Amino acid sequence: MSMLVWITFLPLLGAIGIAFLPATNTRLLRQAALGVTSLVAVLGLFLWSSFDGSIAEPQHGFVRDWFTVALGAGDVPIRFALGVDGISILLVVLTTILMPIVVLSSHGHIEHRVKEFFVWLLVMQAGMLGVFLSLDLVLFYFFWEVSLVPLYFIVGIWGGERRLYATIKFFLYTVAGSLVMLVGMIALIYGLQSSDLMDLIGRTGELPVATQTWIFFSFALAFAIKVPVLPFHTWLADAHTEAPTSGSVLLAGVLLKMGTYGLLRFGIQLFPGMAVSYSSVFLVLGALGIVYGAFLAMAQTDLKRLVACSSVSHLGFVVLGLFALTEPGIRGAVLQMVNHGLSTGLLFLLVGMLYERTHTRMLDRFGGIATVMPLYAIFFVFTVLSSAGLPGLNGFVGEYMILAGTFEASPLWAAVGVTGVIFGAVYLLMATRRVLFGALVHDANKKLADINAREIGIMLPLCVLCIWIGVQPNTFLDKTAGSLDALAKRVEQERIDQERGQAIGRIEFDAPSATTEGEESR
Amino acid sequence: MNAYIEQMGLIAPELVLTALSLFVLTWDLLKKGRNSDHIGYATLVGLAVTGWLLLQQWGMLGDKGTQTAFGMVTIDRFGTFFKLFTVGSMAVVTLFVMLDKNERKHGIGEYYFLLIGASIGAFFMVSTNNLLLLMLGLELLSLASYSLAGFHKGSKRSAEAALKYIVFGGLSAGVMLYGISLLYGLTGTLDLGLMGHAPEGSGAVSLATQFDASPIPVAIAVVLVLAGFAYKVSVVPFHFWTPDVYEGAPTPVTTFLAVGSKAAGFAALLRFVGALFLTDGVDASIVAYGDRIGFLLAILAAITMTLGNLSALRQGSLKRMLAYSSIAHAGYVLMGAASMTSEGFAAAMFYLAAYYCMNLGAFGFLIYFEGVTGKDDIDSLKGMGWRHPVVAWSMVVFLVALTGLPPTVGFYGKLILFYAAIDAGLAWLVIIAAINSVISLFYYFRVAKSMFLTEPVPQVPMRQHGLAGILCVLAVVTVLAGLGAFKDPLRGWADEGPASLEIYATDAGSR
Amino acid sequence: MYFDYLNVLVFAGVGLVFTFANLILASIIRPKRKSDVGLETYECGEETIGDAWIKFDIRYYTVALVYVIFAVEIAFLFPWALVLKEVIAGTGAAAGSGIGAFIIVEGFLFIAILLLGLAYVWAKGDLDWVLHWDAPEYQPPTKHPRVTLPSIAELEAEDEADAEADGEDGPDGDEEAA
Repeated sequence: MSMLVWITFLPLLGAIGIAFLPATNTRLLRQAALGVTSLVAVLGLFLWSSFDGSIAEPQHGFVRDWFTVALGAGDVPIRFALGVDGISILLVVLTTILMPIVVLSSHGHIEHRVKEFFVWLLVMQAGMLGVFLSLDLVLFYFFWEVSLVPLYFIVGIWGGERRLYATIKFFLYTVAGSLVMLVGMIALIYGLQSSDLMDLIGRTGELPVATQTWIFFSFALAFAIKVPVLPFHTWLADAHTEAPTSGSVLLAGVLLKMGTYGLLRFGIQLFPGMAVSYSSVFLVLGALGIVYGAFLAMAQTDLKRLVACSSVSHLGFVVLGLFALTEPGIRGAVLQMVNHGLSTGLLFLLVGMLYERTHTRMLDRFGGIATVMPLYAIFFVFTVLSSAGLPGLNGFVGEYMILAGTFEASPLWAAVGVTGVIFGAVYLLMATRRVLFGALVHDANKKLADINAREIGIMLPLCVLCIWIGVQPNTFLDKTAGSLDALAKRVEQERIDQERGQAIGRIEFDAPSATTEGEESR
Repeated sequence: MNAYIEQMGLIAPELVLTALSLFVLTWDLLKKGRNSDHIGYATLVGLAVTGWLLLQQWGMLGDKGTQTAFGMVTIDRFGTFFKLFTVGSMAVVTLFVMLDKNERKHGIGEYYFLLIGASIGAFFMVSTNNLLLLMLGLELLSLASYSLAGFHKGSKRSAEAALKYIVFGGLSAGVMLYGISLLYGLTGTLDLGLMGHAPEGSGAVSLATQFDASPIPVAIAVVLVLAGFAYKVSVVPFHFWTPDVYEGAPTPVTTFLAVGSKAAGFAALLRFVGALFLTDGVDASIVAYGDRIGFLLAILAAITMTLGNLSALRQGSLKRMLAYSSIAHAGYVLMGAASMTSEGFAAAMFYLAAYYCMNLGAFGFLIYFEGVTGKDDIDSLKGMGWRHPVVAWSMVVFLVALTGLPPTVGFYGKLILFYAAIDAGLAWLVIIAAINSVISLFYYFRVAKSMFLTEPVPQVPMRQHGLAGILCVLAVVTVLAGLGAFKDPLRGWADEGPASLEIYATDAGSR
Repeated sequence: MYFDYLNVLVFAGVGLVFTFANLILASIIRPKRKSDVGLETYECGEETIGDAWIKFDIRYYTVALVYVIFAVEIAFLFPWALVLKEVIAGTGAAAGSGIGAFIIVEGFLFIAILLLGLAYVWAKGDLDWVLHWDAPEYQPPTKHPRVTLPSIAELEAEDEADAEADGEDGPDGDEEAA
């Protein structure tokens, strides 16, 4: 049995196991959850070390027949296919590493219904890992939805005051998107008589252009909602703000990456032609998202909401980099997904720690915290700098690569993106000043305890990773090199083909008769 | 003579059920209404025997159906599939009746008698190619249902339900009979096989021939018959009775109406449409007409699911909400019929099987909930999740399945329905269905929200372990069937159903 | 064509014309003398008393329903008898099929089921014209019909049992009320 099967289903087994533990023994529950997630993290590290970054094709493949559907000409096998390649490896490992931290971070604020919390958390982990690992469209959709329901309960049960509103909004937005995706997915499977991702890549050109376009956009819509790209971003601020700290970390760290991962995998890799044709749409949305998110963040009075809005801005960078469709852009975007997971995850942890002590998130209730919590201040400043893109830390590498890549494709939107870096520094440093520095005006804040060993232990690994990526990004970039180079080349080829097609006044997207015959003979 | 007794063996399940119904009635009479649990157990045993016989029958039947009683009764895998699920749902409903605290005060023998009678009606309805017997089966099912709906004699709502049901039911039966008589007049036969394809010298005229000669009467006749079915499965212009009857009827009865009765109606509808218009069937000349009927069904499906879901959004009562949701689900199943292909029919059958599972669960939850609180509005569910965790989590599984999300059988059913519809060129319908799923998500998860996301209100803690156990089993089945443990055999069964139907239509032609 | 629609149309047309032509003709040729008496409803010469929309006793319907059982029985037994006759005579569609005994058994089964229905109605008291609303509760027959006096110990045990039963009933009632 492949390692990937264990990585995907170990959390699920853990969830079932924990469901049978006594609900009152909180300590045992926490230890069990930590044990399961740590085990998965170890497996993730094994996967990391055994993964060869120079190969473009998926590795550690695991394929079994699942079921068949009768469609059009014949039966289409739907397979249980898992595999990991350069596009997904970083996200898989990030997910596995982040989970024990999330479990540990739940100590402070998950005090009631602990058992249910961990069950949902582990189910969600299985779903998320499945999303990144599945190489079959239907299987992907399956995991996509499986990862959704747990968050409904995590935000809805353990969330903040306005959690009901946030939960329903988030759930409706996401499911609406994913059902549109389901329709597009079925149309795609029907059109090409296959649901194998690796088989479909490279064959989508056989479909008529109009069909390709609407399928591409049905996928893009679902992922754009999940990311979220600009007009769909409103659920994010609410869900992030109302989620419990560990939920926010997971949302920022992994769940949003499902959207950007989807855009890369099902937008660009599956439909390179469409991505080239409509890249400008996403460039505009990405760049606007950067600026708009930054402005939103500046206007917030709630610290957690500020961090949530900064997510919109940071993920704008990722979208910008992806749809620059240049090699540095895409590689930078993939790295930036990880960066955002680390930095924003850290920020949410920090906000959560402060909230547990003060029971408020309002910026005007803070000030001068650095004098009472010096260790906390160190971590806070470090994280802010990482998030703002200080050279030597992770954010800089990602943003630099993205902007360099975008400049190649479109100097205008690269320029707009650069302003986002400046605005980012503005709101992050402003928040730092208002929280940490200045006079300690509120008496309640004078007795705050500094962060303890557990909290440092949670944050330290993430900080180490931040520095590592900032100093030696090649460790991570090399793992993605094979797949992303191949992808960039394919997109480039597509671009050249399209330009040539336009030059001679016709575009040949429709299936040439040769391929149709080839399909029949197969 | 032996030949006839052997042929009677084909309807052994029906005979067993009939004997069971008489036995239950007599026993109750002799016992003067005491010891109602014994009657329940007797019913369960009888149903088990019936189910066993049906399984035997399934094994003996090939791809091809067989007929008995001078061609009146057709035994094929299509019918047996539905009979198996009718028996299964009957057994669960019987358990619900036995465990429902509200039901024990009333004459329980008649209750079981009527439920079994309704099942017999459903049995004959799904296993005949003859419109006359189909109508008789439908009426038997309906009459028993009318009485059951009004079973709580003292309750005004129950009386209202029965009255509405019988008035609407009588009207639709009349409409349907009129359509059948027109069909008989047009083709000279009541046999659906002959109607679909009449060979030389059979004395009948196939509907396709008749359609070429006079399309309008054929269209009127078919639409009238479809209207009768549409009433039975509560498709939109004929759905008005559904919420009131579901609300007024005793909840176990509602369960039967929503599950057994509706599925039987769909089986008859599929058989009717399949015999006459299945596109990959026999007669090429009817194909164009079949497409038009398919389009009509597609429009009905779209309207039904949309209206059902939108109405369900506004309901405060869980029972009414489930009633409207069952209307919406009729729309989804109709998608499969509208695709007019074997795959579409198989998908509709599979979805019905999934629907059995999740709706039995949802109504079982309702019975439990009514037993605990005596109310049925969603707001009273507050905190139920923490007081009755097993039942509430089971309900979450059913809600997820009803919405059509993985990893449940509801997702899988919807998936293959969508495939079939896209295969038949109904992409627009699939998009409407997808949008509808989002709408349904909103009201289904309102229940989950009420149960888990709001703080508990104090209430008397009371548990019904039996009911909780059943719900738990159903939830596990719903998930396992979605994951694949039971799905593939089920899928195989569902696939074989339309196959037997189609081959039978061809066979009838050559007879 | 199985349907000749012109026939239907002509039939309907003649019917309509006949009805309305007679009414119109009558209104033309009849004498017109208006008086209060002319506006009264009449039926077979009897004065109407009260309203036609009154509640009939439910027992009329019960009896009507019971009657239907036998009406249906007769309706179904006629064709059955005809087939049986053919079988005995060895003619018609049933000739040589050898279903004679089978038919007879079936016929009796049918009647037996209907009789069971009658028995049900009887046992439920729907055949009694005078309904017993206050019928005494059904008492199960005791094993020993002869009256025996219970011992003191037995009486005490019974009292205890009653007390226990009351204790159980109490909370049950509360639960339902809640």
